[in-house]
Amino acid sequence: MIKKFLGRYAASFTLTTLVLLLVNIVIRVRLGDMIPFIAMVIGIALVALAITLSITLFKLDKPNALITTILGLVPLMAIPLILRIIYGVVIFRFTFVLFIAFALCALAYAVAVLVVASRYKKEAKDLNDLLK
Amino acid sequence: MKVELDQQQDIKELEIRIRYKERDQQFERLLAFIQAADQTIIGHQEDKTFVLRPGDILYFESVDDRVVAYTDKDTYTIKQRLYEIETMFPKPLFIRVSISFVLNVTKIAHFSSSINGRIEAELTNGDKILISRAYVPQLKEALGGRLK
Repeated sequence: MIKKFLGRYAASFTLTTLVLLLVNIVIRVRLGDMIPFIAMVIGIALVALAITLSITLFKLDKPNALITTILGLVPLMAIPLILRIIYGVVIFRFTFVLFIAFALCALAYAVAVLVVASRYKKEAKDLNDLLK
Repeated sequence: MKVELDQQQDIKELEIRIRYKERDQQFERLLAFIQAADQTIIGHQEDKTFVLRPGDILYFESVDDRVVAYTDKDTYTIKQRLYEIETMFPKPLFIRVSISFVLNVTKIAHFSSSINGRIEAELTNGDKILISRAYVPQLKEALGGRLK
């Protein structure tokens, strides 16, 4: 369980680092702003933790599929808040940007859930076909 | 598949002869099924000991430090470890589906998937067993042309 969690965390950390690095480059080139290094590192660690928690909760066996799917969304909702603390007014000058960020997180999660659900539905169908 | 039955008074023990063109999956499964029909496993219930036939067992589960065999009506504690059970019986009949379950594939009623990416096997007695993604390929292989 811990090994799996750490593996997911490592993957999330790498992905988050790459994405935020790209965002920082864009901010630097377009706006000329620099984001403090310490804030970035802590931010990346926290975002990665939120993603890992979300995946872990989503994949829980109990109590049931619907509850774990809803629970999986909760840690993701922290990501826009973490990003707001890191980037401040550079990105989140207007409140509606925060709401857009929330909506994007929820949308990304919904897409991920749909992809996973359809893939496993197909897998179950294949297995049922083999039973016939 | 054609089945011929031939009663003879002079033979000493039951004899099964299979005529085949090639040793394909169906052949291997049939062979495994016949071989398993003669096998038994010892199950314990408190201080009582029972002889169990593989065909009666729905699945084996590893619980804490022991292995439990589930039949339609009862549960029995088994001395063997789960990996030993896996190798004890012919492969296509009993198959590992997760870290703590070995399933009798002939007892699967149907499969279902859930929204959070889980596959469950519902057995003939209504029990639901979670299938690990890692074991799906070998389960598919075991089910290819399953014996009814």
